[in-house]
Amino acid sequence: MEASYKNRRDFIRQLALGGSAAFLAASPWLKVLAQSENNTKAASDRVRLAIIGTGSRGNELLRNIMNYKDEQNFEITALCDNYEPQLEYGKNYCHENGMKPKTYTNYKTLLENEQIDGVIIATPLHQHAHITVDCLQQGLHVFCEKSMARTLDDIRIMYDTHRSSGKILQIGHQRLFNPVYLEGMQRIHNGQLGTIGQIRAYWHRNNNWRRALPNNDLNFERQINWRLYKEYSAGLLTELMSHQIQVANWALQQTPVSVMGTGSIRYWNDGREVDDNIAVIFSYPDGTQCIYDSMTSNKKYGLEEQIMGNLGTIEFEVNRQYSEEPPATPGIQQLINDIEHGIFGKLPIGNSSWIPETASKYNGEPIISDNEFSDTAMQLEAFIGFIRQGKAPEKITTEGYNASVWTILAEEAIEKGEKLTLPDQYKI
Amino acid sequence: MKNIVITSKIIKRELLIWAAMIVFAQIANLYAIIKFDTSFSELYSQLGYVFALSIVLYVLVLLLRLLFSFIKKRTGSRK
Repeated sequence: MEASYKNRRDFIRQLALGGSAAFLAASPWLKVLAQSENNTKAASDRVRLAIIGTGSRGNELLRNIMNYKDEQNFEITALCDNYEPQLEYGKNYCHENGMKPKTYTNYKTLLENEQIDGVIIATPLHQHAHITVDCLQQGLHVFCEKSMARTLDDIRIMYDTHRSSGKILQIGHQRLFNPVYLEGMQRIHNGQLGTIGQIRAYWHRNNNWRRALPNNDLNFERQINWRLYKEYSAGLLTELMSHQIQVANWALQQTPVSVMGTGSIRYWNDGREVDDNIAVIFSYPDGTQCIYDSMTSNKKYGLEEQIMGNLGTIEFEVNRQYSEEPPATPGIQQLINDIEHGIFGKLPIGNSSWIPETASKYNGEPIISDNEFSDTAMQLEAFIGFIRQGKAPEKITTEGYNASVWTILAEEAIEKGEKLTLPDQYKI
Repeated sequence: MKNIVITSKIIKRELLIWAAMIVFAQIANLYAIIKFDTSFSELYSQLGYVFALSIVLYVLVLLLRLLFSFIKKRTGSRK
């Protein structure tokens, strides 16, 4: 059952060449990736990139993209951030890797002064839309971190500008490039799990989700901890759930028809505005339900996306597939268990009328054997490949779009306490 | 101090007993395959289990033999 790949290229090639039509239609970027492996070292072939937003995520992306500095012909030519220490970190990291980017504190100045092919945007959420639109209108390809934007209107404007400019707009849903997800999606789309009835997804943490302020200076609070304030973020919904609703949409090859939910600040009453505890249900056209919850005061269950069909279940985050009819325990083990129960088992006083239907103890099978790939790095490698080809499959944008609009709609459903559908003007 | 001498005869006998336990465990494996309707490939895929079971059986038989010989010695010394 488990799939094995020698390396990243081998994995992409095998999936792209061997994938079924249904699977390749659901994950069309694979074929583009498989074709994008050849690039020369010539200066004329070099992809010039800028990173706007060198905070924790921006610098994480920088570290990831540097994994490919020897095999992909690209250069980080400029960095931009309005917070000096993080900008300095990014610049030094580039220097250590043989690149000498110019630094800017205003992205508009960067756009005026730099000759670049594409930008990576990793600013706080509320800044995504206007920066993306400006970049696309200037003829640049854009990789923008998820979620797309803070409002439905901003998401729509980003999408429309992508369409009118003809430039790539890739949203940072790295699971689209994760081998475990790709292999698992292939099985789902080929019908190995049967009819999907429910998707359960969750992301649980046990921390205050705060970042330390420089010198404990409260003037930086909203700039550093922007995730906690509604002006900038929808909290758990945009920062965590958006990843998992994208996975649900991808698995089902549909977008929801409605969403309802609830939320509260249950534990971290520290002045934050966003909920620390949410529960949301998305309903899909075929009747599938996606049940989602997230909290930040208990981490026992961590994070997971469970795709549940009548023939089996996939849990992506732990790289496992479970059949509804697990393989039989070897006969000799059953025999020994029987003997053991015969000797040490308890004598029943009366027959129980009901046996608790507790979870199966079957541990399932790994989806792929080697899970040492970095999906964050692979999505950036893909972005470079897309730029070189001057195009990307439209689905790479629509996956991000659909995840983003339904994330913002979930926030609205929680605030209104209503079951909501997507207004027509946001349907694509 | 008394020297304990393990003769080649003793070694051969113990090895034969263990071999018999391996055969017995493999027969149990075959019986289990038929009883629980599992795959006949378990005849070789479960050899690790068979091997472990044979050691457990050997130790059990050894304990029985030691007990038997202890009782025999005790009853013999009273005569």
